Formats: sequence, structure tokens, C-alpha cells
Amino acid sequence: MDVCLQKTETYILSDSIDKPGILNEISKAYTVIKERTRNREQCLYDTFDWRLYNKGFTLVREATLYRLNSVPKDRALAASSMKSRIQPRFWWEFPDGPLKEMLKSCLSVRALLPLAKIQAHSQTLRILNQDEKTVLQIHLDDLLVGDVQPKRRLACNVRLQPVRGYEMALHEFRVFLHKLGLRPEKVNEFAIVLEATGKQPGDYSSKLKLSLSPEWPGNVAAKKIFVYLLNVMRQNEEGIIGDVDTEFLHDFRVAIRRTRSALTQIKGVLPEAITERYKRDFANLGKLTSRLRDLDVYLLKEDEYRNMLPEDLGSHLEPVFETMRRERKREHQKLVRALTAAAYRRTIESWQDFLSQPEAATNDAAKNSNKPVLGLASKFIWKKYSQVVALGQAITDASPDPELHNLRIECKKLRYLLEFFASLFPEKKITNIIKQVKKLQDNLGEFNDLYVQQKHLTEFLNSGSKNEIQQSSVAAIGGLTALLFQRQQVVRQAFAQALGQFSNPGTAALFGKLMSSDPA
Amino acid sequence: MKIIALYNIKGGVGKTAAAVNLSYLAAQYGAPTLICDLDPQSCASFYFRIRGQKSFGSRKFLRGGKYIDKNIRGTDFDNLDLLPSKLSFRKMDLTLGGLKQSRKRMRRLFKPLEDAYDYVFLDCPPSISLVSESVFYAADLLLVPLIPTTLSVRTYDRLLRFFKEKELDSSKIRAFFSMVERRKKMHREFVEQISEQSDHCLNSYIPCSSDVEKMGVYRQPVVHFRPRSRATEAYESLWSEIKPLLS
Repeated sequence: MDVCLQKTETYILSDSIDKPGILNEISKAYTVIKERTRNREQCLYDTFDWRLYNKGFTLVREATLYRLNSVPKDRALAASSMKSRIQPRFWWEFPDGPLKEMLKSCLSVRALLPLAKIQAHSQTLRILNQDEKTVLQIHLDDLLVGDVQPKRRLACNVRLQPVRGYEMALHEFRVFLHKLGLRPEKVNEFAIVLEATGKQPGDYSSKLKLSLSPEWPGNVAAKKIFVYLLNVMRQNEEGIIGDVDTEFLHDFRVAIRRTRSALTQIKGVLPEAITERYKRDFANLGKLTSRLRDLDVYLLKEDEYRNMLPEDLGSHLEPVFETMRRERKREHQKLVRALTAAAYRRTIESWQDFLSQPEAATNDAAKNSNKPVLGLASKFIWKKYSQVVALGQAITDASPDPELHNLRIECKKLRYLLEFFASLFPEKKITNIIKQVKKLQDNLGEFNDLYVQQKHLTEFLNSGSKNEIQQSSVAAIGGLTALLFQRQQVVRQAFAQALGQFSNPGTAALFGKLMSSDPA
Repeated sequence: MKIIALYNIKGGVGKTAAAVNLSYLAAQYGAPTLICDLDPQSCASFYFRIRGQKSFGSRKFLRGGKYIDKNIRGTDFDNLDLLPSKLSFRKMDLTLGGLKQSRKRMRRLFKPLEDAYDYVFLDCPPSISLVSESVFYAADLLLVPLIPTTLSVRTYDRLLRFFKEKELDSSKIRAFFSMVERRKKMHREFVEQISEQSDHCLNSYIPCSSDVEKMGVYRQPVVHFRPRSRATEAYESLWSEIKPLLS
């Protein structure tokens, strides 16, 4: 049996008996071999957005061995040993095997971050039978929180490691422990450690988890939304500056985009001067980050692009990517300087200040400022939905591409509105509507994405770095662009169906009913 | 899962020592491994300090499934389990003869363990019988330890002829020299001669070793209690020569 995956049973020593006490009792009752005390250190990992935790997994490292555990099943699912002491950050840095596969499906492009360390002073006892065969292993673990000073003692555990085929010995020992007053516990050591270190599992998510009340005045609801988004931005700053993975910048930009969308779409809830100022400020922030994000996206597509082309042609993409990598480094440094500069801090802090002020009830407050948010939400959403449908139905096979790009933008505005105000409507219905919008959006998004990729590749060709690109790379880029164009046509053809599904009477009725209904 | 059988019609040639140490090595390198003791003398079981249950015997063994499952025991070593034998295994031929499809039976017995173990080592009894034939059919690799003397080479030739007669695949046979005394001229000459003649011969050989003899005293694989010995080196070399043959 693969020892890394073997199930162990844990008891916690508490007031009834302590470590020397239990050692004594065991030695009296059994033939034991005591092995040398070992110091073990385990480290827990997860992504910034708790992807493993959300799926009920924990990833634990001890020396070079990584183990993926299932919390509900209370056992290990897969284990992998690293060849060196280099700590892998991404799923592709792990050795081939079931662990790598599981991490691939969970983590995607996110990096693993060390969350907490547990140190254990571990004493192993082997219980022997009359043939001096080990029939049960017992580990006495003194657990400490690893990276705080002074080290905090968490618990002392008795961990039973049974030997296959010697169940009787295990059973007997359980009875023995029972007599000493000990009971088996499902130990989630890491929940304890995380609590001890002040970390809250699940404290970050890129999804919008907002809870609004239908009767809140428009400005109160809007501010709640903005505060949430500002918080997301702030949480991602460190990861961007430290260049941990590409998703920090992505989440940061999405929060900016949502903020800008809210400033535009949720009309008349804030004073106009404020709205105009911050629309500008956030637009600038968006611009600051866009080149770096573009480069991240292309570099993520490196393997995909290479596989699209025949092998020798694909290899000529390498210098192109190398140039992109160098530019990316420069862009990242630029962004770090911008994010640590006073101007950025001023924008963020003044926005924060504004949002934390209670609204003064003045006569020249914005027109929707005091209206209940449910009514506002329904109005804005319905209007946007109608607009999307009208635009969509005006598009024919002959329509030029910019019309689809337009539609995509309006569709995105609709989606954001639905997400901002989702908590105001019955959950199942709103989730269904958002799903419908997403389907249309996916088609339009893919179409736009392909267009943008082609455009940027062509720009790259025409840019000043022409001297750095060789003939062969030019051919490779040409080949790639052609393939992307082909793909784009296929997606365009699927548009009619996607729109049909979205604007059919069924969906329209759903929208209509929801947006004119009473508060949830 | 790969099945490796240690076989020789003669006893005392180093079958069990090889089975014990090779399976230990396989497990040490991280592969979940089972060593299956088929010898009614239960030497492998003795080395690992494991006794078969009273209710276990050749009939239960041949029924397989849960009967085998219940009788597998964990050894003292990570990743290594053992299925012990009993004295009643001396009757296995009889029992096997009474069953249908006796030749294919052994292979079928190990099928349910495919996901649990990467390697299964079979420590065979010294005999040629229905059980042996069933093992010949089941094994992915048949390792034959040979003491480099005339008589053992004769029995080896006999084995190859047996395979031919029974239309078994002899490409799975690999001989290796065991209990070799390099001081003895005859041993040296035989090793050279046979290595040249046969492509079934492995390069690694196991020297005669008092450390291996001490296995009975320590009741542990020699690779475990004498990691720096000549014997351990030899078994490591043998395993690294065998491993690629199995992939």
C-alpha cells in the first residue's frame, strides 16, 4: 500500500493524560520499540483565492513530499515527491502523476502560496507481537505553529498508523486508549493553525459577493458596491507588485472595469462632479495596466500558438515571444512604479474617503440618490436588455464586424448590472438569466478576442521591433494570423444561433417578469 | 502491475533471498509492492515475521478475491506487503488440478490487485508442477537464479525445453547467477561461458555472502540491515537491470 496515502487515526491528548503519561502507559502494556524523535515540519499551500480550500482539498508539503488531502474524506488522495528542494508554484512545475493532474484542474494559472507551517516533534512507537513484528505504529506529535515567535503550542496528538492485516492489534489499542479516556477526533490541524495565524480561509474571491437590500437608497447601495470593488483592488496590489501570478493583475483590472461600469450605468446616484472625476481616474488606471495584461495573455497563449502551426514554423515564434517577455518585464516595472507612486495612492485614498462619508441629505443631491435601489436596478437592467436585443437583431450576415464589437460592449454592461444587483432578486431566477447572458457574451467575447489577437500580431509586425524579427518569424506570425482569422469566421457563424437563444420570447419573458416583480 | 516470479526447480539457490531483497528495493523506490510466498516452507514469510492465518490454505488462495485480500499483511517496511504461505500449500497442485483452466488461474488471481500494486513478486516452491506452469503463464518476468555449475545449467536447459513443449513464451525468462564464489575458477568460467551463449542471461550476479545468510537471524532483508554490503550492491544492480525490462 502506498504509504503516503495511508489513512491514520488521530486522538488528541488533553487534560486526561499528557505525553509522558501515555508513553508510560503504553510501555507498561505492550512490547514497544521507541524510535528516535523526529522534527517534522509541514507547510500548507493554497492560491490567493483559496481554490484548493473551496474544493475541500488541502495541499501539504513535508520536506520534498507534497500530499493532496481531501478534507471531507479525511484522507490523502495523491502524493508526489519533488526531485529537488525547489518549491513549485504552478501546477506544471510538479512531476507527472495524479497529483499534477489534480492540481492542473484546480489551479489553472494561479500560483500556490505558502499559508502556514506546522512543526511537529514526533515520536514513533512500534508495537510488536510475539514474533517481534510491528503490528501497529503510533506517532506522538507535539504540534506547534511554525512561523510565529514565540512558537505557539497547538496540541499533542496520538496518531495511529495501522499495519495491513493486523486489525486486531488496532482494535485492541483503540480499546486501550478508550480506557485512558481518549477519543478519536477528526483533526483539521490547518483550520486551527490558520486561525492561530489570523488567516481566514475563503477571505478572498474574485466573484461579486454583494448583499444589497431592496429598500436602500440608490447612493447607499452604489457606495456599497464601490467599496467592495475598491477592496478587491487593494487586496490584489501586493500580488501585482510581487509578480506572483497573472491573475492578480487580471482581478485588479476587472475591479476597475466594474467600477467604471457602475459609475456609468448606475446613473444619478452620486454627485456628477464625483462621477466624472473618478470615471477619468479609473480610466487612466485601466490604461496603466492594459499593456502588461495584453502581454500576459499572449505569453499564456505561447504553447497554444505554437501547437497551431506546423513544427518548424512554430519554432520561429520563439524570438517573438522572447521579445514579448522582455517588454513584459519593462511594463511590469513601470506598473510597480505607478502603483507605489503618490498619485495612485491619492486617487485610492480620496475615493475611499468619499465612499466612507455618509450622504448629506441636501436638496441638490443627484436625482436617483434617494430612490430605492430595487426600482433603479430593474429600470436600468430592463433598458439595457432591450438595447442588447435591438442591437443584436439588427445584425445580419452582411453586417460589418464593428457592430458585433459594439454589441459585445453593451452585453457586458448588462452582465455587470445583473451581477451588481443579483442579491435583490430571487436567486435561482437571476442565476438563470445571468447564465443566458453569459452564453451570448461568450460567443461575442471569443469573436472579439480573436480579432484583438490578430490585430496585435499585425501591430507587432509593423512596430519598431521589425529589426529584431527575422523572415522566418514573420512567416510564423503570418501563418498564425491566418488561422486566427479562420477561427473567427467560424465563431461569427455561430453568432446567429447564440443571439436567437438569447432574444427568444422565453428569455424575454424571464427578464420582463423579474424586472417588474416585487422585491425578492 | 508487473508480476515477477523467482523460480528454480532446485532449492537453496537464492530464490527467496532474491525475492525478499528485490521486493524490498522496489518498495523503497516508492512502488507499492506485494511479495507472494508460494513455498510451503514459508521462508519469505519467516523473513518478514509474518504467519499465515489458521484458516488460510491452498484452497482459499486459489479462490482468490477476498480470500487473498484478507490474508495480505503489511510488512515492517513502507510500500511492501506480503501474502504469506502455509504448509498446506504442499497440496496446491492437487487442488489446482481439480479446477478448470488451471494454467490461467494464477494470472486471474492477481488481476484484482492491479490497481493496488506496481509489482508482485512470486517466491516459487522448488518443483515443477501444475502450480509452476500456472506461474510460468502468469509472470511477466521469470527470474531464474543459477549457481554456476554443470547441474544447474542442465536444469536451466530443461526449463527452456519445457517452455517450448508447452508452447509458453520463453522470452520472459532471465537467468542470473546466484551464490557466486569469484575465487572458484569453475564459477568464473561458467559465468563467462553461459553469458556468452545465452541472451537470457543478466549481467548482474549475486555473490555468496554471509550477510545474506544472516537474514535468518535478523529476519530482515539484507538491503535493510546491511545497506553498504557487497550483497546489497549486487541486489541493487540486479534490480536496476530488471526494472527497464518491465516497462
